[in-house]
Amino acid sequence: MTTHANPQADESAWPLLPEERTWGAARLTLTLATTAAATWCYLIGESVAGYLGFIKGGLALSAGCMIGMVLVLLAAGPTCVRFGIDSVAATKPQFGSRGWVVPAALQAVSIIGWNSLLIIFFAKSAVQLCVALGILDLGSHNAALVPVLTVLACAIIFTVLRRGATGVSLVSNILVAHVLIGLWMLYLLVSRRWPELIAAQPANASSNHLWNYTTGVELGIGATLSWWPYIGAMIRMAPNARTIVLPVMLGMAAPVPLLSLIGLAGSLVLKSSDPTEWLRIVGGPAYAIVSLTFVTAANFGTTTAGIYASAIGLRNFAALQKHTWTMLLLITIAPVALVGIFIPELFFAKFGNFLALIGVAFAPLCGIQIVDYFVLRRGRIDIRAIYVDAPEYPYYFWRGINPAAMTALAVGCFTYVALLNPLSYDSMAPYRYLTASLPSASAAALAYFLGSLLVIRAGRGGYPRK
Amino acid sequence: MTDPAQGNIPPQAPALPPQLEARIAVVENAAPTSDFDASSWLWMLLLGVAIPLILLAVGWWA
Repeated sequence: MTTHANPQADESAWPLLPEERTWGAARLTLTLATTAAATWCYLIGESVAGYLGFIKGGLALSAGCMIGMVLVLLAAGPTCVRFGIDSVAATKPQFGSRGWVVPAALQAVSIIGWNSLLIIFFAKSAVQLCVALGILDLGSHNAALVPVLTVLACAIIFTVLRRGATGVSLVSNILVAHVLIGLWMLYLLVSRRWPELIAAQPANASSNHLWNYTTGVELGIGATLSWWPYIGAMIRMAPNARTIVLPVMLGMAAPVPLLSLIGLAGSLVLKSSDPTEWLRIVGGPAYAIVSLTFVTAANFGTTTAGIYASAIGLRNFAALQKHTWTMLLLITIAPVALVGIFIPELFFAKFGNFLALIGVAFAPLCGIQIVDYFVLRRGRIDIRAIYVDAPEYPYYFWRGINPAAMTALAVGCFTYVALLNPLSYDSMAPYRYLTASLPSASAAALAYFLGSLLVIRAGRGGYPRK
Repeated sequence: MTDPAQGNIPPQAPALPPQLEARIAVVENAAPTSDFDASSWLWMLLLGVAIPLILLAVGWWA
């Protein structure tokens, strides 16, 4: 049986054909960099600034981001890039032909949450930009414009994404310049305020230096683990595994800590992670306009990629497979728009909790996928079984669910919360030596391995036998 | 239970959409795409393990 390259293939969750996977390393790097660079970088930097100074914080965050990224790459990378499928489809060998809805729900909640946050940032930045340019007057009535601009942004994203992954790439090509603007902003602050920056003390630092340092690393790992939902939809456009390693590690892992330094430096010196506030102080209104343009562009690019990844993830649901791409985009964008219209301030206030919850879920998920692919299956994935939900097929396990994966996910989440309360930051002693994400991923991997031995003994799962 | 991954008797497949069926057939019959090659592993080791460890060490003693 043969088939031909389909221009709409990147609008489905089906495997991409070799001739459809045309993104080279440069295109993938641009797209990933544009996706990674957004306002959350300032918030991550601000979080680190609570515990560490500029040098230590920057190094801990960079190390954490690179460690987290390699975990995500090892977890989702091999299956996604081998068959041209997205992150959610790649979880079916572990969670089962029905159990995959758990990671799918994690993905949907994560991306919708992040995108809602970014789109609110986008709208607020756009309002500020209009004020700075003299298009709008200062006044409380400007707050009413946020929902309007949210809807406008969603409409533009919808229009762009009607072209599928090509739309994401197009936006990335246009907006990637904002990464350079971000680095310029960092240079500005560092060059003009270096003595203050070095002398600045973190506001919430613990008396235990190791705990502070580990928390910097943990925040970096948690931040990059949140890329798991996004990464599959991007790397599946690349032709092979060899093509994705450097783009992922340099295009996605590197910009986050670099741009987070903006938030870190701003929080330490000027007590504000928002560059639109401190650039006005440092360089006057013209710099503030540049900064606002940067924030607006950055969040728009990331949200576009996020909506795309989320839409592809939702395509795995049988009920949504028959809908048109247009309808699927509407379904994906609607929650983001509703949050931006009705509860923007409430959502803003809950950001810290949201970031913490993400780390809890994705670390064990990565551990499970890594041990499944590299240890238990030794790279043997049945692509047909990923798309068939029937008892005769290996990923059906028991009623479509693999209890080993569900148990391992719970073990991993429990391990994380036991080591570090993601809301209060209360921790147990091993946390300061191990972080919380790494033991969580390891515990889930071990639990999955042990549970899978029973699954294999029961003859389920399609694992290769010696 | 039969297990297609082990080359046993193929099960009767539930009907898939024809386009998906065609895609799966192409992917199944295509030459296996290589996983990470040696240079990929080297880069991952360097960027995901070695450099982070160096950064951590430098940061701790900075």
